[in-house]
Amino acid sequence: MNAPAITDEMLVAFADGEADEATIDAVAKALETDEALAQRLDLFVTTRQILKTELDSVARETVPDRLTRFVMGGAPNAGARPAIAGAATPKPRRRIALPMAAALAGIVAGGLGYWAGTTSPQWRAGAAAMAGLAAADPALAQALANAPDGDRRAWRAAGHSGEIELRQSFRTERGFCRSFGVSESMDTGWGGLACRQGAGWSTQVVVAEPRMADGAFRPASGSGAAIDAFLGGARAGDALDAAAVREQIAKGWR
Amino acid sequence: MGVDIRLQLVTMLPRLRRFAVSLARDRDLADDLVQATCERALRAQAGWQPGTRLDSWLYRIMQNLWIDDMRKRTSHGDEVAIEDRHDLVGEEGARSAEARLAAAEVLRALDALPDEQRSVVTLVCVEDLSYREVAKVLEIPLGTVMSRLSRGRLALARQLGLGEAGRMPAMGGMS
Repeated sequence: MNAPAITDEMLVAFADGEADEATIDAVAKALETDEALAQRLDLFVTTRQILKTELDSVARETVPDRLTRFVMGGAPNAGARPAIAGAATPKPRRRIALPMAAALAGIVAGGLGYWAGTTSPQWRAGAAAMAGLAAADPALAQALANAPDGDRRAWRAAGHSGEIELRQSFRTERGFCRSFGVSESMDTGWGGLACRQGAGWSTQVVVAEPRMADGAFRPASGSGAAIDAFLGGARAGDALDAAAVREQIAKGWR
Repeated sequence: MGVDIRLQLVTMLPRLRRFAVSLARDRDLADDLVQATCERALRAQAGWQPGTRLDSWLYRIMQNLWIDDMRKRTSHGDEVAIEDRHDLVGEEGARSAEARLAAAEVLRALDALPDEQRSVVTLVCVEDLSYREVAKVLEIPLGTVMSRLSRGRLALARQLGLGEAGRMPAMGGMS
């Protein structure tokens, strides 16, 4: 006989960690002796696991460009000269040398080339706005100025939070540039490259970096082709070592 | 002047698509729903209070759009071959076909639920909202969240042929 006091509502709340103390005690006690109740609890636990696992695959898909463009389109041009890839794909892509890409920083995403010179004005405006927003983020600007490579900083803006990870730093003919990843806590992040400009930083490349099945964000290689293209054109040297980065942080990247 | 939410909207697109697919199943329709949600959110961004959860606010917009408008575009019962819709996702679609079939099966089971149960189940189990957040998003009492959630999950378990779900009567609780 099932313990009559335990309802499905109590059991589901127990399974989801939403039950209050009294319910937890009552359910735990009933579970000690009631095998049918334990099986029923298992259904609540299992359905959640299955749903989460299967529907997560949707969140790992590449977001159609039209949606990204729609959100960013029509935004005021931030005046930057950025490039953006709508979304990275998990397929390993060839590292193509893009000698002319430097100035325009054309991006290859999903096998499609987005060249600043040939994409629609709307797309470019969206890309510019995205990069402008990214650069305008005070947490990112601070991390770019002060955080050593490999450092992760909390990112919080407008009710959302995530992490900024500084990846590599380079000396280029346009000044210092740093690659970074910006993640929101859940599913997606952005990788990019910002370069020192005037007293601040200007984001040059932004690439979407979906979270992989193992929970990790795509490593720098996800945005690598775009960043490589930019760095190649800017005649960047090898990545700075930790000591050089520390030195530049102290000197304000001048 | 409110904050510009575009960057966050873009960051949230994968999650918005996930919720949209659970509502609409059809990928094209789901993406239309995401776009309509973003459009409304951008127009109404003054209505979102910084410091509160943006995702909850967006889910509410999406849920309302779906119930009030876009749901009518689908003739219920039509089998939409979601496996065929992967042209939109390009190479990503070449991921494991097996995984997609499993996802399709779960979506079919989810689709068999009444709308009001499906939203609750998805928001809790997939989007990880708390019961209280779901109650706010859907504008229903907490008790209703819990009863829809338990009934929805048991029905889902039956659909998926899990355990003894098919033979178990409901136990107590609110209607």
